Amino acid sequence: MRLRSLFEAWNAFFFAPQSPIPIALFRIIYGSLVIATLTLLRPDWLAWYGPHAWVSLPTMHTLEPGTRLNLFAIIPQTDASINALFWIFLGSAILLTIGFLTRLNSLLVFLCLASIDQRNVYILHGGDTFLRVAGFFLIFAPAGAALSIDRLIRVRRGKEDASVEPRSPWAQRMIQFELALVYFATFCAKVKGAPWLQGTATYYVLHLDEFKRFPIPSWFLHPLMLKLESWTALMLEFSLGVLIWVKELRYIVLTLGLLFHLSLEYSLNIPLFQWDILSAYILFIDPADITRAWDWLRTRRAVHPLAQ
Amino acid sequence: MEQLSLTERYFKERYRKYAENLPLDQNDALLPDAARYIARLNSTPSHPARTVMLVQKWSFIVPRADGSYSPEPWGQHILYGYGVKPEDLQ
Repeated sequence: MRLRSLFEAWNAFFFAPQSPIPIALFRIIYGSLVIATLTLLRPDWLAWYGPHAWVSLPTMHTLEPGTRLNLFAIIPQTDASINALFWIFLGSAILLTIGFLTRLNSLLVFLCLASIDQRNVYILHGGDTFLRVAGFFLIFAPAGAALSIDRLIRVRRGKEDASVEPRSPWAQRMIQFELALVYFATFCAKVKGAPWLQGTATYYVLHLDEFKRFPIPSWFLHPLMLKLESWTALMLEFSLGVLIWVKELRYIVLTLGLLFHLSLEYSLNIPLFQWDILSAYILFIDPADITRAWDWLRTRRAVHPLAQ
Repeated sequence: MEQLSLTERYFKERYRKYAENLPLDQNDALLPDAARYIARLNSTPSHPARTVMLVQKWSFIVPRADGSYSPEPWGQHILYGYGVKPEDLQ
């Protein structure tokens, strides 16, 4: 391979226009997850972020010094202003989901998400961090170019026709890289620990009472099964970080990843984490396959007795 | 967390995460804020809280000879004690 062809392949990967449908679908799922996050937090908005929160703003500055993207540091420290910020955040997340003023709302959602993350870093899980980083790239993505109110308005005004124009996917690629890096970094961190290599790690995970959710069959906790589960998790995380880039293996890896996260969602109580991570899977689906799936659904709906 | 319903657990998971971070040595600075918050939660004008004691409980999971694992009995120690000042309750 010549250096020039490598450069051209790099350019094509990041900048060759493609359908914005996957990033638009991601925007809808992403916005819904932000809304869900805020809804789950709603009873504790002031307990975590208020003027008399579990962690005060001065303590947060002491523990995490330096310049931070944190709107809480510049708004008045009153219950009313903190609540107002959250309602603006929620409104903006709803508008982002439906794709109205998409660019502006993706910026607002990112600013607010970064702020709640920086205001209290002691209550975050990996999914929160994933959403924050993905939110940054979403600002630059053509997320409102399809499946949005923005597009509907543009079509009504005659600025766009019925077909969706292909766009540069570089921001989408960055979110894809983020997802792959999450898995690969997790794999690298786990292989440093003896319990994962010995195959005993899942025992500990599944026996932490505070994490338990729905009951697991007893055969699943047999020492041999526990080894198999630990090693399978390692292999999957490696595959989702590396093999996901191999086109022929992609859908197999994604399907196994989906099953892996659904099994974790069943057994462990880590609210929204699995969905936060799964949200980016849509970015790995070929736009042509999404269109095919949509057409298939429409055909099925058309022949369904209730649709006639 | 174990005493909450499934729905409550889903809403209150952040408290578990916070409690996981609270006893870590590098997070000592979190303890006075936590004590003040608990004091405010448990005070009334006629019965103000005077002292808050944070107690940490743990149970090790240990391997047995047959290859299985079992949790040991619970241990506990006082993580932090705080004398509440009147201004903490404002």
